[in-house]
Amino acid sequence: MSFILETQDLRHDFKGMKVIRGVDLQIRQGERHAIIGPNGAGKTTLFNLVTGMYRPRHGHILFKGQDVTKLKPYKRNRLGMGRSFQITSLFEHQTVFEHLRLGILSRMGVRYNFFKPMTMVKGLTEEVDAMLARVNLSEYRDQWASLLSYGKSRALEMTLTMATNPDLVLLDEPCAGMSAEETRNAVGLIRELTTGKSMIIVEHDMDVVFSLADRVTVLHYGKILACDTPSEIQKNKDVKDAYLGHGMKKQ
Amino acid sequence: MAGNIKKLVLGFILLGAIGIAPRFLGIISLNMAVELAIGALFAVSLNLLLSYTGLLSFGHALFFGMGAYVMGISITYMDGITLIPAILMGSLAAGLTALIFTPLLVRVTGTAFSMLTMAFGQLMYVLCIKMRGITGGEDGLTLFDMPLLSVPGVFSLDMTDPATLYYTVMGVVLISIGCMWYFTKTPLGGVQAGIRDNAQRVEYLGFHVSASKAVIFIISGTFAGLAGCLAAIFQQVISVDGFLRINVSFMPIMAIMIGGLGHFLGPVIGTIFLMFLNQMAMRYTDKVELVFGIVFIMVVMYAPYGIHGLWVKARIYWGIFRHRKGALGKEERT
Ligand SMILES: Nc1ncnc2c1ncn2[C@@H]1O[C@H](COP(=O)(O)OP(=O)(O)OP(=O)(O)O)[C@@H](O)[C@H]1O
Ligand SMILES: [Mg+2]
Repeated sequence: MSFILETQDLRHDFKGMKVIRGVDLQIRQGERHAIIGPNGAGKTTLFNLVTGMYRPRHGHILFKGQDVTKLKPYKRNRLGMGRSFQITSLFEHQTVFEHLRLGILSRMGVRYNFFKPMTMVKGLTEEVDAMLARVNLSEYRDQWASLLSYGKSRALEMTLTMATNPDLVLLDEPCAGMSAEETRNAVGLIRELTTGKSMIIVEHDMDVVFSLADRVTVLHYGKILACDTPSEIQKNKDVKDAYLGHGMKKQ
Repeated sequence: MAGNIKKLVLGFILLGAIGIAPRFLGIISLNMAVELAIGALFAVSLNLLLSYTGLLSFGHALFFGMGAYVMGISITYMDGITLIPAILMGSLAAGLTALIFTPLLVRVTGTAFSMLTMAFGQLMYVLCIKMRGITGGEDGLTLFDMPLLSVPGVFSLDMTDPATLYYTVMGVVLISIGCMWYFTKTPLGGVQAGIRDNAQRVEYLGFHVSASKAVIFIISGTFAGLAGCLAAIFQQVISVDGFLRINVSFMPIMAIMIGGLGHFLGPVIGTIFLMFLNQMAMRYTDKVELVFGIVFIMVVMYAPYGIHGLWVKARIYWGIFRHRKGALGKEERT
């Protein structure tokens, strides 16, 4: 069994407040893995450690078998790791097209070129437009991201993450705050964009979790409480006590 | 598309006007135009940093002065040097200075960055006064024998002739601004815009943010240095007060704010505005700086995106006005 991502005894604290307290996570090649847990469980912090925003106080992170614990986020991205943000993180003064163009440029490895205009980078515009069409954002192509509806901006957030074509993608609550219909669209989009890739998703909406995930990890106060298939997780007594039973079903 | 043609035509008219101006302008107006062009180049170089990377340098005079001094020193101490290598040395020295400061960029951002650049600018000011032997101290360097701008056997231009100077400066400034504009259209320019809006996201897309910032910082510094060289050729005296003082750093910032932050040509508009304001104010008062200060505060308070922002707003209101009158234009129905 080959793991695309592995964390070994990961620990982190903020000014002594222990937030991640020894997490061993193993993500299989090609699986869709959900992480659930109550507010403040440390899910986002775990993402931040895995993607390189913080250096963990203790432990190791292996990505594709390589120790990436000390690598900067951009390096991890180049190795094939992408993430989306819980709080939408876009470019205020740029159009939807310009967002994805940046992602595709990175994917093409065109990063420091300042001799050739972007319009002349071969295949760039075509590829961006193809991606826009694929996620049904073509009609918003030239609109500023800051003017998009909430649902659309979340869709752009996710698409931008996928534009660099990562092998492992970490999605932080992609459906939070969405209406039922928006959620349905978002789930469709996630399926569409992550086929053939490995994915870790943090989500509070259990319908989303149980319909998407191959395996579910329950994080509770910085520790893994359980890690199993969705049906087993639903039966797990500890999980029920800690999380599912307490009216936390929908956020 | 129609907009592009309009811009092209406008560009050609402007170019034509610049071309024939010396036939109609007196020596004073011509010199003003030269000063304006140099100021615009300096402001655009700073704007590359501010509007396209979100870095506010309070010490851009450092590069402006570095360009001027290195050029002036090479002219003063190297016999027989012509102007082109001297200018190149000045600009490259400014670029090199920027390169030396890049580690700063990586570690500090925001206000701390502004303050640090200001501190280094002041340091340079003091250093130039102290190194009297090379820089002439408070008296500065006077370029008595301005070398020719020449390529042996090809052309040879005399910079002390006002019209020749005018055309040379205009040419260099237009080409430089054109280069910087081109730069914003390239992939690295796109990355810069991303860094300005959201550096973290850019990093997570696989771009090395610090390295990209460093490249633009060096480009900006080099062009600021070039502007300094042109200013030195124009003024023929290089002094700490004219090239390194803090208000030399503030002028382009004001030009950018007044012209319109975030717009490529905003600083050019701002420079023109400041020039006229300066002329008007001088007629009525000797407290020109006070007038500048008041205008600056007004702009920050009531027109945060400057003249360009006001123009955009006016167009929106004009659109609404036409809409009300029943002449529904297509562009409103998006
Ligand atoms: N940068 C930080 N500095 C200090 N404390 C932090 C920081 N980031 C997170 N925390 C704290 O760490 C704990 C875990 O936060 P985290 O954001 O990882 O939780 P989460 O599981 O993502 O919660 P949610 O479901 O609300 O998104 C919280 O108590 C939070 O206040
Ligand atoms: Mg979170």
